Amino acid sequence: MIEVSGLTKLYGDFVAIQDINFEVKDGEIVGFLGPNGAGKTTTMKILTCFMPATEGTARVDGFDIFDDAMEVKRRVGYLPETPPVYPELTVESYLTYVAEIKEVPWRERAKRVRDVMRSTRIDHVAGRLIGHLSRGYQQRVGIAQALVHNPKVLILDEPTVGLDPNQIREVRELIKELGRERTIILSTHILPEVSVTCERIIIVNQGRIVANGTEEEISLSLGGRGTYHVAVKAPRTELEALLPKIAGVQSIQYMHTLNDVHSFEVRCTEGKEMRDELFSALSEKRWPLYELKPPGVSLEEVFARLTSSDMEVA
Amino acid sequence: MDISACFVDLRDWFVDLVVKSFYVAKKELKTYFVSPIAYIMAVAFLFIAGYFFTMHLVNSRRADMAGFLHNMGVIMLFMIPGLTMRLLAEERRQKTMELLITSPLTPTQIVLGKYLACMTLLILMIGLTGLYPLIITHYGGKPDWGPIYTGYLGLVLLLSSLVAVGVFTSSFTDNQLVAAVVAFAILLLFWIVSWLTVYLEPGIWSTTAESLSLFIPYGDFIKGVIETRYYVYYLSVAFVFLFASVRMLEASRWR
Repeated sequence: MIEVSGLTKLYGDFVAIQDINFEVKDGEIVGFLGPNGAGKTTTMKILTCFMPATEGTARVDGFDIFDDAMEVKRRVGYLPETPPVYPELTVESYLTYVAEIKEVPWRERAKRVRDVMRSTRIDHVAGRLIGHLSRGYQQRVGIAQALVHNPKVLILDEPTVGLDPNQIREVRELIKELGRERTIILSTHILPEVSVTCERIIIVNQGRIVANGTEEEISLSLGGRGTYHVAVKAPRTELEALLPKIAGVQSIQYMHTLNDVHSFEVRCTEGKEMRDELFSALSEKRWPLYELKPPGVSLEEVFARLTSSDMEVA
Repeated sequence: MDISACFVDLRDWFVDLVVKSFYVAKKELKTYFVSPIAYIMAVAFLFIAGYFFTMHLVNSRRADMAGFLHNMGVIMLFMIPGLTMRLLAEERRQKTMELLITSPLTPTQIVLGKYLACMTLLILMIGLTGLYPLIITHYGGKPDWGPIYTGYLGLVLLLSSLVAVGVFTSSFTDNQLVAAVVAFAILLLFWIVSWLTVYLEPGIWSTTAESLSLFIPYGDFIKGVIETRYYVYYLSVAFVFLFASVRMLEASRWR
């Protein structure tokens, strides 16, 4: 659905993004993760045809963002960092205006506006002036605006900024719901956000992509090195005898015991998926398995490692 | 490509231009009327217009609108920067320009829509002064209608140039005050440029200074004199400044 190739943007001498390449498949929700100033917003502004790239290009639904900008604009819903709302208009008249300029046929306009107001839960403030709404509601109006022409692709720049915890949860649920039939790219620097909403993560730092994959893939590629964490309710000696015999296990290390549940770090052959073996070996003995954690590091750790300034990760 | 396909393309382009500009203009007019600015301007304008109309009528005791229309031209010079300053500058400041640019709108449609909204508002305002000649006839005056018609026509043409200048100065900044001040400076220049003729020997420079003025042709319209070159001049000035605004919108994306 989206193919980005060799995207580079310079502001004078300053390199905002350099050689960005990635693909987003139809119906995927991709999280764009990176510290402030990493180039997330720049990439999004280029993808939405707000500004041209210095080099490279991208295709959205098969249309080039430079040569067929109009076709791209028709297919993309965009929520910029600041919700692009007119404080002097009411919510409903604002969304109607957006529907008009986004080419929603006039017969469907009123219905589309009503539908997006309902799905973003702003229908009860339809008649209020946007300028009188709280930041959270304005953000929701911004999301509604991006949805009004029913775009195939949604590009959301920090969609949960300025919302309270309840609203954040609502917006995340809304995004997941929308992601069922749409392709979504969202940027954020809030880590739990990507874990919760995104199927795939692209981490950018200093204008480059430093990681691209599912949360598990990225954390696996970085660390853990084949060490599984296992907690089993079983006689300790028998357990210590059994674990090293499982094919692929190289060594075990006892961690601690809590209410007869023993925790071990099980070191295995790197790169081999061991959960199947571990589970079947333990279930044969009918020992209840309390925890089985695959190797890998937490997203926080991944982020810290990949985006600390002196680190260059290929 | 054959001619008929060309024609279809052109027609689609034109329909798109009209429809989308209309949407932009409609929203802009709504903005004028939900904020106090349109009402304040209209009240101030009608107050001043009424004052000049009354004064001219009482002092000259002639059933014509010439003096009044002259003053209207100058009043517009002061009013227009106030009405045009926010048109594009505010979109930049509020970051709503991102919505416009990422919508299937062309810069031409955006600029034209804004321009038409401001023109509509001003034509509505001066339309209200259409009551004045009727007042004259009501009290038995028999005005010469020719110069009144051409005078109003000239006023609309004059506005078409002045507003385009205002749209242009609003297109390169996100600061409304800057837009207004620069617009006012340019408009003032278009007015006083003809004063140079006093200091210049008759010749090419003097003629140039005179023909650059936007207000000398207006004076002729008020007298009932219509020349084709006046139409051409007003519409060219409007076109040049609107075209420059479109280019400013396009250029700002490249920064």
